[in-house]
Amino acid sequence: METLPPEPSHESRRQEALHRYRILDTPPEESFDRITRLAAQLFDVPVALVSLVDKERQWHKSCYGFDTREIEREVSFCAHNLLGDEVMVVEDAMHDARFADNPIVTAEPSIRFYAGAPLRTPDGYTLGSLCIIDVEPRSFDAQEQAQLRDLAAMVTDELELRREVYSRKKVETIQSGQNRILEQMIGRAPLSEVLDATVQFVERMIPDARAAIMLLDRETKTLRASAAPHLPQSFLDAADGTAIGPDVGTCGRTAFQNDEVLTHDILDDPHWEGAHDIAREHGLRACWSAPIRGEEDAVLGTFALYFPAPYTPSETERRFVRQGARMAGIAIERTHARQSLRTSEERFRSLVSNLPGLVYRCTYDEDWTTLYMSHGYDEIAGYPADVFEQGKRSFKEIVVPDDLPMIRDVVRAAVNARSHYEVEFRIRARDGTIRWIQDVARPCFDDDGRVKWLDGVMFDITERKQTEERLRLLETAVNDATESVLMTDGELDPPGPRIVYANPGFEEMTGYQVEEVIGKTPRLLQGPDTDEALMAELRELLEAGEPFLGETINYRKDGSPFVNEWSISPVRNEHDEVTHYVAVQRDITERKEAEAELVRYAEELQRTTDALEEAKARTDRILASITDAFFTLNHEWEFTFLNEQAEHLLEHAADAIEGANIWTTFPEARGTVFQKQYERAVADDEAVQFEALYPAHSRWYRVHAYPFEDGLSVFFSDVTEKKRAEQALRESEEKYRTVVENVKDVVFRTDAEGRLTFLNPAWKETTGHAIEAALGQPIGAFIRDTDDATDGAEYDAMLAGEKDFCRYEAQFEGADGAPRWMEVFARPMRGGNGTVVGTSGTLHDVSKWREAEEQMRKALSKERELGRLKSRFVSMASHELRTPLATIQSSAELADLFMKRGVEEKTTKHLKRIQDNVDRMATLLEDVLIFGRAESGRLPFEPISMDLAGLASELIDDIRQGIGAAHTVEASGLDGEIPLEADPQLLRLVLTNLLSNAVKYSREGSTVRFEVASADEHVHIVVRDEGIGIPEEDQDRLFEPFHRAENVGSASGTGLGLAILKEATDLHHGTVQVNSVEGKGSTFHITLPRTRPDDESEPTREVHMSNEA
Amino acid sequence: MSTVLVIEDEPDIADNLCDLLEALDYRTLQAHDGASGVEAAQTHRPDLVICDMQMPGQNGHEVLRAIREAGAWGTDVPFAFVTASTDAELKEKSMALGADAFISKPFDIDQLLDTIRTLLDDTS
Repeated sequence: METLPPEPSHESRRQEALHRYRILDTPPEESFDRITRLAAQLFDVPVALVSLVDKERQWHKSCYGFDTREIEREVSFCAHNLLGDEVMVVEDAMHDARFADNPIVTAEPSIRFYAGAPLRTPDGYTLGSLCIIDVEPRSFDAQEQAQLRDLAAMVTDELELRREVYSRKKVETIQSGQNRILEQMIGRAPLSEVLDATVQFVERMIPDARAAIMLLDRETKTLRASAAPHLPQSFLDAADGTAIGPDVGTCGRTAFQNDEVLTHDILDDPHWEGAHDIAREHGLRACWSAPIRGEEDAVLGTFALYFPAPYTPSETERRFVRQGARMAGIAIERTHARQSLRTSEERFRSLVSNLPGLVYRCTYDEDWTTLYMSHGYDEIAGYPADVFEQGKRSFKEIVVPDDLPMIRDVVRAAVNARSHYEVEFRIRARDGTIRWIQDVARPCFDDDGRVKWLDGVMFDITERKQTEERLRLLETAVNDATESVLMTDGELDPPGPRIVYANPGFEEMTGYQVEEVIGKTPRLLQGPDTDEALMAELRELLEAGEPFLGETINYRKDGSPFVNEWSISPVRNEHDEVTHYVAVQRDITERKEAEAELVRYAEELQRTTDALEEAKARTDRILASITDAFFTLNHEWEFTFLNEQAEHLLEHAADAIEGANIWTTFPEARGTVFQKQYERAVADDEAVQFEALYPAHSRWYRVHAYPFEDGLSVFFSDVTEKKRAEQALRESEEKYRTVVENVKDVVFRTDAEGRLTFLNPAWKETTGHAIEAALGQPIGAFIRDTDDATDGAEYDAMLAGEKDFCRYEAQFEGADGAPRWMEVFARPMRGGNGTVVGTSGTLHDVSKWREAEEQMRKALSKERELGRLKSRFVSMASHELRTPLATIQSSAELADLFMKRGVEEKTTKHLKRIQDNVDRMATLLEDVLIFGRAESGRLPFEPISMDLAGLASELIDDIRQGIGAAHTVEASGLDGEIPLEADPQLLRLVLTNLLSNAVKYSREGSTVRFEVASADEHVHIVVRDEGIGIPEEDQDRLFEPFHRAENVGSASGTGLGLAILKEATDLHHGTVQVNSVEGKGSTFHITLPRTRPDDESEPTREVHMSNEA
Repeated sequence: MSTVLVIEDEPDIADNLCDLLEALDYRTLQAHDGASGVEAAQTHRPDLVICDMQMPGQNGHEVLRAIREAGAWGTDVPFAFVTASTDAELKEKSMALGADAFISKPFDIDQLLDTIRTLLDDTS
């Protein structure tokens, strides 16, 4: 009769132990084959096997003389030897009731003899046997059995070795997998990547499993498929949107119950009703799902494993899933935290940096659908903002169509570069006018790197554009003028005003190139024959802010002299301060010569009648050769001659007014500067020259009048256009300046060497540095640090002409020493031949944004600190609660035991021990409670007038009673009352902590000293012990909660005593000081004020530390 | 009568274990840290060592190694760990180092006695 092999009672645990070795179904290995070969030879048998007994089969890791890798467990011999430690010997199977009917005995391979030594693991499980088999019956003596057992031990060693290697490898894989995921989280990888990595990590740990993370959508209360790289898309599509409920699949239930749910076989599970087909189709038979939990254990999603066959995962596998779920939870929480920070930060940034503009948020698509638009839009476009917000009108519709492609390009480029962008374009306002818009915006990205929306600010820059346009026209006019135009700054102190602009006319007139003269003073035109007196007069006039008109000898670059007529006008800012000068110059050498000759001939005309004809002819010739208008007056102020130009400008024919009195003909000229100047010239017999507006014509004339014997000759020309150009230039300059001086951003210009030549008032407001002191210095002199650690290399590259602009953030040092972060944006200014003659740019204060960033960092570090505190608390509590609990539990059983046996002394001992440990736990909980109150600032502080000596004496008596003869406590300074205002409860905490620490951390027989010294305003408490002391490296962290020095050994404690002591002392406005040497002892000094402080100032938080020498 | 050495840093727990063992007629020895535990083992050669896994200073594994390396006697003496940990890998490592059994903390008196009896009977 066949007997089935008995199953050991611990069969399932034995199976688990076998699977831990991961050896089943692995290929043959020489290290095992060597042993079976040896066994077969040693015992002279045909077959030797290393057999392992699996659930339903016997599997052979090594088979010598037998080519079957597995047989059914029902017929297994080895399965009969899973309990004992003995070699099982079957000398003749035919005569053994257990095997006589066994098919492998009655038929091939017809086994008769069997001997098997159990393969026993160190934890006591028999995995199988090393067995030898023969087809003949034989005996097997004790010595042979011992030998077989030795060989079996070798097999076991080999198995152990394999497993050790395997588990080390597994540990390494787990650690490196976890580390990678943590690194990703720290590196702020997108959530989807972290979740994918987590899923793959768990899949690697559990063969045949496919994992999926589903995330909870709070709004729809459904689960969304999130990370499941190895599950088919069609299955995920079906699973996406799974409802949360008690009857929904596996994950829906997991999320509902906030607990792990196992579906051993999906096809048997009514909760999967309706999804059987899709599960079968994708070969998913078992599912194990664990909740992903966040703060306060709220469900964030589920972490599920799918298996191809009905399956119940092992405890180890479940642990991996929980670990995966935990990591996913952390990643999700971090992302949420980061997202909410980022959202608020973005809102903040938009607000702070863009106040003056119009703020909007729109989608990043073809239509730029407006999501938000601040008020004030109607001022620009004439349409109220909500027209766009409500989608009644697309913003795109009002953009001038020609500008659309350009905007799209800019936005696309910015999105690709993940940077912000600036674009200027035109819109057609509601009234039909074209407005120029400057749009500064940036794309905002979600965690997966997709554009969420565009945030931006729009400014109406129409006016600026118009000014720019006017300026451009003017500049063209000035550039094209044949006259030389020069602009200088307003600096009159030596070396004098510096040239900031010169037109091509100047180059032509003087032979200098523009680049050569920028930054120099117009003095370079002066030479030996320059009229020094006139120059002095010029300076005087300029200092008085008056315009100047005059001529002097100047010199060209090649040294040749020319007569230069200067017209200089000051340019003023809104404070009426002169900031620049505009000088228009004319080379009048030729005209001067012509004029001089003319005058000579006119005189000759009067003197020599003979020469009249000739002179007249010459005069006409000369007159015709000059372009200026010209007339002469006799002493009666009657016209004696007018040339053609004069006829034209004065609008009178010569023959009509010759002989007529000038003041009768032009009565409106009476009393004007013209009359005064002419009269002065005649009276002083000296030439005059001036420019003046002739009101009747509304035109400006430049006039030179020369008195001669018979009257006055007057040359004049219409300079209205030139005057208007100058005026317009002045006005635009002023307008431009007004803008520059009123913007919040710093505007600067530098010369070609990068030295500052101009700064607007915002410089002083922002940095605190005086403008005058900063000019002439390189901008780098004020920069302490740059964002990109390039130290402004970009800026230098730009100065060298290699870049068209630069933009970086730099930390400027304010005059008060405080750092200011500013965005530096600069462009090169180029001269006529393209060389860089300087730079101009702006500094935008980004300190606030930087501060926000800093705060964000601080918040994160606070969060980490809390995490550390929490974990320290958990490890403290688990130890400090577990030990007394274990003691209480065993003492309770022992008390019971001894009571039953009537051993009274032992019973009492254990009852007392229970009491002591209950006290110990109560103290711990009390400490935690007090600390909790202290941390949240709810520690009650109610000082009253009390006696320190009385309280201390009472506490010292308590301590002495508690410790008996183990320690000596010496007290001094406690004779008589020591009145002070303090909270007796807190003070009791302070003193008890000090005394009990002193005793706890001291050897038996040592002395603890307690001293009080009182002064007028303070009491000083000193507690000295001769105990283990505090290692130096722990002293800094002594008052941190849950921190315990590394040398406390097994002395129990929470690490809260000193933290509480510190809080209590702080509340009294007192101080704590510690001196300690490891191995020698510690001294604590507490100083408390005797009266309650009146002010509500923050209690002092300083801790003074020093080591006793 | 067999002698059991208890190495446990919590004096109360060590004492309770000893009380229990004494009530069952074992002789007991106590040591409250690893170093004195190893010394007591060498001096008194107990029939069984019960040792706490987590102790300040010399920990359980170090005690086990020291005893196992202390000659033939040390190789054979049954050694049981007391631990609150349920970490399977820690147990595997302990077994590899030569531990014979685990006693979980807090104690289940029946399990404790089973383990002790098995360990002592095996070598008696």
